[in-house]
Amino acid sequence: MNDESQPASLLKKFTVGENVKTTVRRAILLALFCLLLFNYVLLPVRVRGISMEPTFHDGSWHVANLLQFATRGPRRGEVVVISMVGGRRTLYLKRVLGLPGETIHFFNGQMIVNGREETEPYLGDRGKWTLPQVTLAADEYFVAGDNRTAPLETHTLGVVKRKKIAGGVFR
Amino acid sequence: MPSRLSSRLGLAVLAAAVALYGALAWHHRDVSRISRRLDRLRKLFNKEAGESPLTALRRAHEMAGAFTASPEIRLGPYLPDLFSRQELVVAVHRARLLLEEIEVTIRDKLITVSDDRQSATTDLAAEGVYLYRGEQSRDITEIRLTWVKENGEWLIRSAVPLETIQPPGKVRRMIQRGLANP
Repeated sequence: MNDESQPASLLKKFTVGENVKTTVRRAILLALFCLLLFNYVLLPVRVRGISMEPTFHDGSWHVANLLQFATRGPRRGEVVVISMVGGRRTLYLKRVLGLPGETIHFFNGQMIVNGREETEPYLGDRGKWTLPQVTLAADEYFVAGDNRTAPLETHTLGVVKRKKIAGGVFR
Repeated sequence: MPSRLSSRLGLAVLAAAVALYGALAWHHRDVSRISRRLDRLRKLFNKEAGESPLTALRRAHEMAGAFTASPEIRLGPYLPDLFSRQELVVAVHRARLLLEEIEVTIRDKLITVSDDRQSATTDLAAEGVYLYRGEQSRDITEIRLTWVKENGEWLIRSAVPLETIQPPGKVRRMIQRGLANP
């Protein structure tokens, strides 16, 4: 073997491997795997807006786990992604506060579930929201953002159906 | 002989693929038309700074042309309910004069055409970025549009908001009160 062919064969070995067919097959399999993984299991999401401050910041990137609630329902305090109508390119990012069957209300910023005061360690400022009681049906959750300093009327919060909760989020 | 057989087989597969493509294109032609109409509406609604009042009016008229003569438009607390093209022209024109810039992006959409191909619905999530008195605001709206085919043309019969997250009654009333007493 001459000196010129050795680098060329090394380059080939590191790019397409020794067997081109095998390499192409592996590349296709890897692409398929990534396509499925990043569409149906782990979804990269970018936060827009300040409704989840101080936990999630405007413009930050995170990964949604679409299988998180495949075997169980969301728990209180978990951050979830919620599908909007028409697809999954835009999702709400909210925290679960009330679970199915519970009664939830706010008084001067304090969350009260089934008559018991709940602590919310993830809040920066619990704000001064006051909301009358909401009783949740068997397939409903109460969700809100962490930014309680925002006026109630400008904040998206309320009742969401279980089927709309698409998954959880890694911080 | 095997080569002749394989070439015939290849031709048959190709013909089947072309037929399948044609059938799919035929099946989705209404979806494509509605999709194009939506995109046109979005582009018409978008506004760059410095738009003349005449252009604003022309665009409002063109937008109204995408609706039936007596549409039902209820787009939540921030806009009045509208029931005619004329009312729509006035509302759109007023919004265009009020806002310095408008940029709407349709994030998600699901178009469903009825079996008889005479009506359709579109569920969509649209993001709007607005510039008002130099301050930018952004919101996401979920809307259901109902379409009817009139003289071969798809027109919007109704537009109503959808709420994945339903606000408590008190919040809804606060929004309405806030709008009544700005």
